[in-house]
Amino acid sequence: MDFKLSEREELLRKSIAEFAQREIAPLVEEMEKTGEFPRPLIKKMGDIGLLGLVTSPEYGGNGMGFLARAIAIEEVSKVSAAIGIALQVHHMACWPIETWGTDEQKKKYLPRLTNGSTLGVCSITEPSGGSDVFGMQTTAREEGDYWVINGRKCFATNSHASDVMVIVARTGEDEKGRPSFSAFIVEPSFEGFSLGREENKMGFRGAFTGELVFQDCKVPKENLLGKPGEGLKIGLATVNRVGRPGMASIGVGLCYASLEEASKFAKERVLYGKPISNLQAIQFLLADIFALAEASRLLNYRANWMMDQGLPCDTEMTMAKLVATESAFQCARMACDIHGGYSCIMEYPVQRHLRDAWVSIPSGGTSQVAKVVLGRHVVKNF
Amino acid sequence: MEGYKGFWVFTEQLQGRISDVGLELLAKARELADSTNTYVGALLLGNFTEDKAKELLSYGADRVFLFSHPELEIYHSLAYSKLICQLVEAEKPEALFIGATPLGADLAPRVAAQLETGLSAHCVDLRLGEDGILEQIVPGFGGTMMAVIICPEKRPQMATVMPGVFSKLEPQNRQGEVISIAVEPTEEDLRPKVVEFKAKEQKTVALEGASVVICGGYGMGSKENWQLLEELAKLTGGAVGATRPAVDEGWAPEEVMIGQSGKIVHPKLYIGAGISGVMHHVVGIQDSEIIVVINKDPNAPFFEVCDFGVIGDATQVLPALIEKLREKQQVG
Amino acid sequence: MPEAVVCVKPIPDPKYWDRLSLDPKTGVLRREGIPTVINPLDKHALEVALQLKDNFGWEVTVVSMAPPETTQTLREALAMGADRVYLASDRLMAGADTLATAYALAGLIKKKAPDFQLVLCGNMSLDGSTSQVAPQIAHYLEVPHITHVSKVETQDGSTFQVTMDLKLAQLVLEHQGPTVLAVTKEVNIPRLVNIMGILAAEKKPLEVLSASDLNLDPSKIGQEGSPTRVRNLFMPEIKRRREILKGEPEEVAEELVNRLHQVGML
Repeated sequence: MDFKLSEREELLRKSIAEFAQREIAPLVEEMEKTGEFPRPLIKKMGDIGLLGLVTSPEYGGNGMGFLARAIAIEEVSKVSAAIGIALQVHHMACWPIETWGTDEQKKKYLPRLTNGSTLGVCSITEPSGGSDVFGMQTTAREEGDYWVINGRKCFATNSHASDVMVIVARTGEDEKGRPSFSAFIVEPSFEGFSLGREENKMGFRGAFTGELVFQDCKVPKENLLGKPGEGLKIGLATVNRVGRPGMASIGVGLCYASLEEASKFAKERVLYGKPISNLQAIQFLLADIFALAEASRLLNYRANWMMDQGLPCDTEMTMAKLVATESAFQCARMACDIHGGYSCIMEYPVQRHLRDAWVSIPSGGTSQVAKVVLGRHVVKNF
Repeated sequence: MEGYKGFWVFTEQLQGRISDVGLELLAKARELADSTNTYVGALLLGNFTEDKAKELLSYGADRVFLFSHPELEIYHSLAYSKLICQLVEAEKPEALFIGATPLGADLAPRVAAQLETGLSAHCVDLRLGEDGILEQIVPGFGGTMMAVIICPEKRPQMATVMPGVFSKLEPQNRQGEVISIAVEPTEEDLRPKVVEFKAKEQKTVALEGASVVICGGYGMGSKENWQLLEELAKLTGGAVGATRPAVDEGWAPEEVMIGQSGKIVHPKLYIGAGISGVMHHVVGIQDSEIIVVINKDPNAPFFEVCDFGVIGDATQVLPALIEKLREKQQVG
Repeated sequence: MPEAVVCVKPIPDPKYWDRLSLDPKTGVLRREGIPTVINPLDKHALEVALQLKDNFGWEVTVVSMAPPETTQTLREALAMGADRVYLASDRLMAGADTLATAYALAGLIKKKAPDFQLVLCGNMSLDGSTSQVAPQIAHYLEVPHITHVSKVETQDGSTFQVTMDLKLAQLVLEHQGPTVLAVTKEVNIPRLVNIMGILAAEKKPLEVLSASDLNLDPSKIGQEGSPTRVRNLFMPEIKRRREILKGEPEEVAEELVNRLHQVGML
């Protein structure tokens, strides 16, 4: 078992860290203030190759793979978790299109998604429920050359910065009488589509989170993604194998961001005549943050490595997401403890890490959903 | 070394004005020559009369080697190095010092390579070791480390020296000779062509000669706060300097940056406000007579090397200091 | 196609220099645990070459004289867009001062890139910061040199207008033909490495060459070929009063003024 990263992966980490410092860091203050997504960043992320990490070179990506993606999202999220989630959800549009798309669909949409002209969206959640997928209300019916979609998606990341959206809608019933679903590629220019409200969030400020509104929205027949009835399979696979590790990577980035802030502060803050980093109570907190960060990172790398190897990894991905996002919140909490009153001051980044970590927990499936998955796995296998 | 005599100095000039750094090096060469019973030679290249060249005698030179030609008024690296090397090979000096200015740093390595001799860069001190070999003290790694460099076998021993490290002598009436050497630079020598010459304005009080230096760092926080330094400088008759981070923030121009890759100063009084005190900067001020440090971080390394350290926010201490000084001035 | 040669030096990462120490027994510099990076100014030099590649189709060859484990660091230059890297590495090259380094690099360039049009260097390396190697390489290659270059302009990729920054003036020089340029950080903003570049770098040539591969005279390289040597290293010690004043700004200011008066300042 080799835990060393390859030369390629080390250079990737270094290069994305530099990109994040140069191009993302200066934007954070404004993003926090206004909640606005900095659109010029899309082209820059395209040029640097972030948008094409999970897409084959044949379609304009670089196909560096999931472990590379984990490292890249980690480094981006250390600087801005909001951009981290914009990036990770973007991949949730790229991957299902390449995995289930027809040749025409791949040729039409993947180059646009990788060249920096737009971000992707993948949206399943609705006001009627995210965890309760079978309760999905959005419907799609066949009508001539179109699928006509009616309904409303909420909490869609990148909603207001995307030209290519993958959504799932109810299209019928299966042989057991349960609802069945299909996946579609939707462009905001389609008749009957509109953007709804844009949420004002307490974390991930700078990533668009909005509503997608379908009122007799006409989606061309050829935009059905995969076969009818495969929608839930496609949606859940995307959430499990792209969404969850993406969120885990954000969590890992936040853990390390909290670690660095906490350590820096502890070495500078002098109380009782010495830096507080000399005190055991503080060292214990730093140790806990460190261990959680490392554990989260390794769980995430293992799950992503398995994905690159073509091994089944839904359980590992779910575990990584659960641990990393919950750890991010704990690490931020402990880092705030170390900062004392300064954790309440907006100039100090650590309060942002706490808010971002909180928002990362219900994203990509709540912790409770993850525990249902893992609990069932234990009962079945142990 | 057997057969080699004389400490030489290349005296840099710009537009006919001889730079201080050459005069500072003449003072050091004078000291070294006196202790080893040899002479001081000055190299002057440009467009000068012999009378003008005589000035260098009053600053410590025994012999001034003058290469005068209109084409040499502006620096040309190939022409200059060719002439210097020819003379060095003929006269065999023990050592050759050049100011560590951009021009000096451009010229010295070429000369050293042509002479196949050793060269040390931006020395902060020169002294003779017990064995008579010239010890050249050089900072490395941004000043965190100092090296003693020697050139045991090759001659001349060459060194470039930071401006401001040594002090020029008071000009005196001295005996000596000016030796004019005929010069006919070829077109080859004058490559590459200079197509434009732009003088830079010297905006600020020369830091190098100031007896009081008020220096600001990242802890000053903003360009607005920088005014406090200017005020204090006015009250104390000092010059304002800056550290690298403050220059990077745009609060002060590059020309007033004090540090290993900027200016070296040795004032009587140095006050550093909002500066952590990394070696890079300390190297630039360590010869100050009194060092005052103002920083809100009690762990700032600068406090290790200060005479008086004030633990406090510079943006609060400076106004109070300015207030006190004004009071004193009114009373006194 | 015209060729630009870029000299690159791997150095200990300046971000970690506070971890440098001197071995008290041997007086040797200890730099374990400090990652190696490309000297930052060399990236500006490389960017000049890459722009000539983008605009005029030049070839970009990177050369270096460094220990063999620096191949990982040098690969970043390939990822930025250089076409190939030649690394001169040999135990005989250890302990070289700038003259011996320049001789080795010039030998490498003469052997592997003899038809160069430009040799580009960073004006100084942040660790040694001598600024000596570029003019000395120019001497061995028998071409002119220009250092402290803050601007490089060309209309046709053949005649160049180069601005040299002196202390109190700027010279604009025009040159054609093989020349060595040493650039400062004002000259450009080096491009970031992108992911496609990282993947492409793995397929580009990175050759390690020994002193005998390059027909170098062993008496002119390494410690043997260095006219200067380090007599000893030391960490500077400074003795000062170190009187610390604490309190409200008004109190402290009063105290400080009094102390300065006592020691003859003001």
